Amino acid sequence: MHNMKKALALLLAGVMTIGTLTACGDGTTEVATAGDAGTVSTATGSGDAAAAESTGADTQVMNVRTTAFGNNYDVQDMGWRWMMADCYEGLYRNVADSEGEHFVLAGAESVDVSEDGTVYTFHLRQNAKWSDGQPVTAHDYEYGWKRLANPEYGYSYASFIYNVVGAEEYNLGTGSADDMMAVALDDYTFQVTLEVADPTFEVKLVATPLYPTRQDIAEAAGDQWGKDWTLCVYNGPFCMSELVEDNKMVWTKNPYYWDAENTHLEAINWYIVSEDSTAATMFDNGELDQLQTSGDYSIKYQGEAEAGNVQRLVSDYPGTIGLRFNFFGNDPSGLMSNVKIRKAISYAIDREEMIEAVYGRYKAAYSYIPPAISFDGSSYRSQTEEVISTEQAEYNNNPEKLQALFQEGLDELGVTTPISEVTLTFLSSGSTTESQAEREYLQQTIQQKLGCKVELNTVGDSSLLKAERDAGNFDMMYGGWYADYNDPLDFMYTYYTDAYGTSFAGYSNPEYDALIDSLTGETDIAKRKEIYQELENILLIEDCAFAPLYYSTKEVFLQNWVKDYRTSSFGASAEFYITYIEGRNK
Amino acid sequence: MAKYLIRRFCELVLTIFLIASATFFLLEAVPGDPLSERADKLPVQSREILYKRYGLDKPMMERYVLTMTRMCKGDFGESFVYAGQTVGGLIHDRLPVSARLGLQQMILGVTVGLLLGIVAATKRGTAIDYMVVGLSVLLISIPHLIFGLMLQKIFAGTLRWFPTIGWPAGKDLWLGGWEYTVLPTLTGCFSYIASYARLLKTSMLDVVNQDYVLTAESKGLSKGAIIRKHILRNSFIPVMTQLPMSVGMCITGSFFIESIYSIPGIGQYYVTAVNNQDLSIVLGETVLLSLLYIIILFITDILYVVVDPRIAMPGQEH
Repeated sequence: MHNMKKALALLLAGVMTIGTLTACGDGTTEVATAGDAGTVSTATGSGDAAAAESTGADTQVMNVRTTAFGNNYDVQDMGWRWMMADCYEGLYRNVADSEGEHFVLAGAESVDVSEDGTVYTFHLRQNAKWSDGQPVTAHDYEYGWKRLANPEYGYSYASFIYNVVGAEEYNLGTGSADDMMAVALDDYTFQVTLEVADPTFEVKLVATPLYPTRQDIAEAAGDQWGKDWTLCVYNGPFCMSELVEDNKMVWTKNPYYWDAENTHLEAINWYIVSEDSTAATMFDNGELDQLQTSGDYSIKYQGEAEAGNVQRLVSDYPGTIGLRFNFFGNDPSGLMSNVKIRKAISYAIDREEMIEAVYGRYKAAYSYIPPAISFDGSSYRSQTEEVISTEQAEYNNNPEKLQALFQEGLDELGVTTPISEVTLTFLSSGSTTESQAEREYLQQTIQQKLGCKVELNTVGDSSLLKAERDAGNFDMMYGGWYADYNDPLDFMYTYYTDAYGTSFAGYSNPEYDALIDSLTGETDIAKRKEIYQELENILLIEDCAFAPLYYSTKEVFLQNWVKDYRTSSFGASAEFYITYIEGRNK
Repeated sequence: MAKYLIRRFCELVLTIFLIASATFFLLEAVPGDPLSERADKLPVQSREILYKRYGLDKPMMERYVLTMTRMCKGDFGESFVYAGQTVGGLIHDRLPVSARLGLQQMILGVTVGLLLGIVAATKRGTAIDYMVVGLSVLLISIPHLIFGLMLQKIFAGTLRWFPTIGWPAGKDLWLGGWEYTVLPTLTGCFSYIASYARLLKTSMLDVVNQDYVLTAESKGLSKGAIIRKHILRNSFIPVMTQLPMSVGMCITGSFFIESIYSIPGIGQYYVTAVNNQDLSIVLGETVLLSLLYIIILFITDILYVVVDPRIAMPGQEH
């Protein structure tokens, strides 16, 4: 009996071990290692690098850090934006160079616009090919656009093309694909008819949802389309060639790309590196060629860049962050309906001091539309003054004036509570050092300058933040907007009544809405600019619905041997299509 | 015996059902849903389409019934956040990775831990004993994250002995690419060393004072023989019962270790899924991991009987 028990136990232990072994079988065929490519591409010392040196050439491989892969390769779904614009191509390509963010023709060779601005005829380049050698045709564009509007797929960005005749009806289930006026006239002519002329239409063409999709390939993939990358074909400078989730992704040069001779990189290795400390170790070792980091590491490499050891790229990023005020009518203090109260809070914050003390990067914001947004060929902000800077300067360093403004607001509301007993609730989320510093800075500075109390309502993540927001448990909250397309309208539309549900804290102003409506079909650029100015004025001065704090910027560090690397805000975040490596082995 | 097995099986089904239901309702109770992050940036009319696409427009109880019915067929559904990702795919791709990492940590950690435990117990009260105990306390108090980053900085950064990140895959999945596994294994094995060293030492000290050890000593047996035949065997009972639980814990992965070394294991994904409220994945993993634990507990019960014959198997004559 005793022996039998022993045997039984042994058997069970064995089954357990075999169970764990066989459950796994043979996983993938790829090697999930960082070192293999690392040694090929890293600095001196390795055999491969020495081999490359003897031929005098640099290995055209770039090793890049990210913290997560998008895991969605469907262009219509916006997928992984970084990848989409490097591995795919649309009618236009967004570039960021000395002229700022703008688009250039890519899949289209030329475009004719009808006199009334409603019909766009795109003449496609005839040498564009997919990575399987097939030509990119107007039918691929037609399929892509109709797929985007197809209600069955429920793509988030379908509203991007609601102005195309028949698209909104098709998407909302009342029309059909055949009535949607985005059609291939022949293999290389793609024509789009708009309901009304729209000067923002062209800037949207750089967005991946408007890229072409191959009908035969997408339909063969069925519901695995966009999910299984091995089923994809690419028409951009690079193709995905390997993926190990949570570890590594490899892109290789697409030999069929029409401009392949100007694409220098043979391969790009993306590594998931979650800790800044690890990324810094790898960057120091030359295992990474590009690094995006934050906090103390950012400061460290700023020093290295000044010493000339690495390159530092800083660019404007189209995002504006600030305070949203509660317009739901259920604010805990009961004071948010008064514009003077809102202004006193907004002007109490010294933007310059705040970004210096809390972030060590970014730009102080005094308007809603950020400098990264272009209008009529140059940065919108360079054409108009910052909206609140004059009023801000008047009040900011004058606590008596701020308090008097706040008191006026209280009087208008008939509130007799002394300022020192007023409590405001500030809602924010996140537990990083930075988000903590942020909320504590705001709490302190508002308390100090206005003399009221500020209570923090802090939650863990963004879904909890939304729940608190929708419950109205705040007087002001942290929030902002990052652009989807390169026009001021993208920002201004966010405060249109209920355009984004409760996201913008219930702000509603019929005058503001009417101005937005008046932009529909307006093609006079000067008139549009005037309307944008009026809108910003209502939003930030008349109503003070939002207190802008900073404009986002992007900071990238590069090894000195990386040349012609660009970042862009509306195309791929990292543009590799003309990047090359020179002098790595020196 | 058969009666006992049937009872255990019924318990298992009930437990799994309760765990699955609890997971479902707990995730539902958290404000927001897996799509809220995406939906917040969308115009209102597009939101409805998005919710419909993922079936989240249906009322909670209807979704509960649907989820449970599908689960009975072994289908947990697709991830809400990572398109195309299924629980089956996760187990197939990621469990082996976490399992190798965990087993390596455990084999090294438990072996070294037990040896240290024996040394500490036999050299009780000496400097060696204090060193082992002190080291255990120290090792168990340093978080994996700090330890991992430290090892990375020194051995991959400064000394360049090992690669900074990565993990073997393909044909090297189980036996190969050892250089990648050294640092992650070391990072995780210290907690095993610490806990097993202390466990065995405490247990051995209990046994040392038992009458039968005194008897053995008075019979004139050598010290080595006493340790081997009398002390070790008897002090192994707590170790044997702890071991299967450790196996269970170790193959389910470690969030921090996998995350710092970019190891495509299951532990990291599980935590991300919970943060994303990715119901199908969380539910699937929770159910499968619970199943694993229940089976391990069952094995533990049987091992008890083997190690200590005084404990009878239920339903068995004593």
